[in-house]
Amino acid sequence: MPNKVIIRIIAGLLFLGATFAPLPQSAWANEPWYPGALLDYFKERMRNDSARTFLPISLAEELALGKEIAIEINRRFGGLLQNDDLIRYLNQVGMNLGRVSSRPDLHYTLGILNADFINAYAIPGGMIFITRGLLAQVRDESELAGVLAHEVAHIARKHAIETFADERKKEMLRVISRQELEDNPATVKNLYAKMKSNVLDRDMGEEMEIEADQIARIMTARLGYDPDGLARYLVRVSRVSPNREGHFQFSPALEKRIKFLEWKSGLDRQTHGEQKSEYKVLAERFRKFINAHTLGTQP
Amino acid sequence: MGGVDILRKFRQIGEIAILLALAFLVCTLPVYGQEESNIVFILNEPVDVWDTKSPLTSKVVGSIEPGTPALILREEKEWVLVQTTTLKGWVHRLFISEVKKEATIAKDPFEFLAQLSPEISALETGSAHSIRGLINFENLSGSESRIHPQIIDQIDRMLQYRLTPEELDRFLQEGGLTNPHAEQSHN
Repeated sequence: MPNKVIIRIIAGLLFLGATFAPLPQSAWANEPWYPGALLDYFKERMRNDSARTFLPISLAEELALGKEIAIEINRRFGGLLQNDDLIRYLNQVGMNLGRVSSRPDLHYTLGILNADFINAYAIPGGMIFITRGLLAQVRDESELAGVLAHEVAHIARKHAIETFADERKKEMLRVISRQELEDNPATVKNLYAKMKSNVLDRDMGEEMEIEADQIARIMTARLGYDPDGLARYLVRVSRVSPNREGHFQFSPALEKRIKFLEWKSGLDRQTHGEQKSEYKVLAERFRKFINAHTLGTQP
Repeated sequence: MGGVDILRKFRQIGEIAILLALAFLVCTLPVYGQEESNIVFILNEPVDVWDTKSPLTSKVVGSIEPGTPALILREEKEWVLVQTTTLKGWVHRLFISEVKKEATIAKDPFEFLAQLSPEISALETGSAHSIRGLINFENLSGSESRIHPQIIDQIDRMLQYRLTPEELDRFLQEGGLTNPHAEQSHN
């Protein structure tokens, strides 16, 4: 009888050992076992793994993402235009808009891409790029403020970053742990490629574009610019040949945006009365800094 | 007699169970010898190695030179227990490169570490610690294509570009625009 008891105990121990031993391999394989090792292993795993990826993206993460995308844009579109006066002027308009945005503490900074197509990029974290081609289509400072306010609004409302966070959550539901992510770098790469693509090659989506237009109107009006500047600019570029490279080729929402802005303009006039004369367009100051000579384009 | 038969059958089942458990153990044991491990490289400066991670009782047990490969034994918050060919102890996470999952390591981790080159690539010295739970951005883009330093320099200069609040106020004033900040301070 005692033999049987011993055999049963040994069998039980062997069974338990065989069941639990393979589980926390990374914790036990390289380190002698210690009391609480199993608990530590699972605690550590919970801390490091997927749970954290469900948290909102922090400012530090946003800035890191922004820098990555900015480098990609710069690399893809041939670098930045170097003209100190022009850059200062652009930043004076853009930074003032940043100060009246919903995230005034963010460091907004603007650069001009040395490219002829018409486009602008709102980078998570506060960087804004506009192309030389876009500037060539703008006629006054209120239009420029409208365009920049639209980009500031994308950043302030975290449109790109929240799209990315949603994508990441979805991805995390499929990929359980950080370890598995590291094992499958293709998953992470795809995620970032998607994020870059959202910022670089596509609109944020009709809803976000229209929200950014609406906020842009409010921000420009708050500084005393003519809030219709953005609509005027959009109408003009909608008439530019759509075959040009990068010219809103991914923007089927453009027509809807123009209609929305015109409707909003009419609504504002009804609500607040005619304030047109009080608003500034500042065409002369704009031409002083932005012209064919400073842009290096043909007149 | 029937009771004895039942006991015999139980004994046979017990023996089979023990054999199965032993077989399972034998199958899983070699995994310990060939476990995949996380490799890190020590970054730019020689790093102090501590015997424990407790700030009150820990002592420096040595230091590791930059570029030295090390195995990660445990990770706890900001501290990582590492093993080099000569030293074992805790280092702060700031001083190590991104954790890299290496291929299957031989039974002897010391042998594996000795085979690794002590050199450290430019990408691995990147100070930007990435989004937790994901991998290093700079490593990612670096692996896709080499980025010209001039491009990174342009972006850095753009990020450092500053205008004073006074200059921004003056710009609004010169254009006859509204300055909400001046209005707020006036009120």
